[in-house]
Amino acid sequence: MTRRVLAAVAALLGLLALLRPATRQPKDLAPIQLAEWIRGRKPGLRVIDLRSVEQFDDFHIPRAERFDIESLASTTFKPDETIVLASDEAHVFGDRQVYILRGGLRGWFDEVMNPTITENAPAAERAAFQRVSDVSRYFGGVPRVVDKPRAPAHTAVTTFRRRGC
Amino acid sequence: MMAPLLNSEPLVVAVAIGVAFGWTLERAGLGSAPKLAGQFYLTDLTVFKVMFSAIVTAMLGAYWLSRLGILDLSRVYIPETYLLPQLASGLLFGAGFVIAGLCPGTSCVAAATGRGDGALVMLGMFGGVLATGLAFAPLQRFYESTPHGSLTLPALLNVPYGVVVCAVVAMALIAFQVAERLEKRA
Repeated sequence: MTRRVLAAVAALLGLLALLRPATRQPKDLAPIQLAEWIRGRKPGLRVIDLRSVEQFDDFHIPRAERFDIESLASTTFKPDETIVLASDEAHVFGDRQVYILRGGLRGWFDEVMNPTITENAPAAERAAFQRVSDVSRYFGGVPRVVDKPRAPAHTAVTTFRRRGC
Repeated sequence: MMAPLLNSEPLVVAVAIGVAFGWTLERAGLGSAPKLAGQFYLTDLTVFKVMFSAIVTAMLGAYWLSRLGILDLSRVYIPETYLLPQLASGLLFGAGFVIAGLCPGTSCVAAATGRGDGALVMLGMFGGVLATGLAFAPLQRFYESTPHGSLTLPALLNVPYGVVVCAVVAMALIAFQVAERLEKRA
C-alpha cells in the first residue's frame, strides 16, 4: 500500500514537471529610463554589459558590470535586484523579470548622450525634452536643437568618443 | 575559537549524512554480499530498487525545490565528463562489484557491522586508490582524454528539464514493476 502511494506521488510530481514554468519575456527599457535610474541611484540596479572586454574598456554605461554569457548563467541575482542587459539580444532568465536596454549601447548614445529635438516641436515634446536634457547633461551628454528630425542611423560609439566628452 | 568550528561544519554535515546513508543501506540489507551479487543473477534486485528510488527522490526533490525558488540548481556542482576514462573505470568498477559482491558504500556498511569480506573490500579499495595515485603520471594523459565538460541530460538531448524528470520517473516506475516480476520468477 505504502509503495503504491509513493509511486503515485512520484508519478504525479513527474507529470507536473511537464508543465513549463512561467517564463517572463524580457522587457524593453528606454535608455533615458535607465539613465534616470542610474542618476537616482535606484537600489538593487544591476546593469549587465555582455560585450567583449575591449568594447567594455572602450566605453561602458556608468555602474555597468561586464559579464561573459557563461558566467552570467552561473550568477545568482538577489530577488530584489533589477537586472538590465546592455545587449541587443534577449536572454532567457526563467521566471526572472529582466530588462533589455532598447537599442543597446547605441540606444544609450542616441537617447541619453545625444538627444535631439526639432525647432518646431510641439510644447509637450519640448517639456519632455527638458527632462531628457537634464539627465543627458548629468552624464556629460550634449542635447541639441536641430532643423529636422534625426536620421534613423545611430551614432557610433567611436564618433561620440572623438568629441572628447 | 569559533573559526575552526565554523570551518568544520561541512565535515560535520558530511559525517552526519554518511552515517544516515550507511544506516539506510544496512536497514535495506545491502551489507550482505550475496544479496548484492543477486542483482547480477536477476534473483534479488534490492540494490537496483534502492538506488533508483534514491535517484528519483533526489531528482524530484532538487527539481521541485528549484521550481519553488528554494534551491539554486546553477550552484549545484556537476562533475565533468571524460568519456573514455569514465567508461573504462565504470567497467573496472563493475567487475570489482561482481567479484567482491560489494560496492564502496556497502563495503563500509559490511565492515562496520563486523563482516570480514567488507573489511577486505575496503582494504582493496584503498589499495587501488593508493596504486592509482602512485601511477598517476603515466595515466594522466588517458585520465584527461575525451573531455566533454559538465554534461546534463536536458542539455545533451536539448529538451526541457521537466521532460527529463518525467521520463526518468516513468522509467523508474516501469523498471520497478519489471524488477518485481523478475524477483517473483526467480
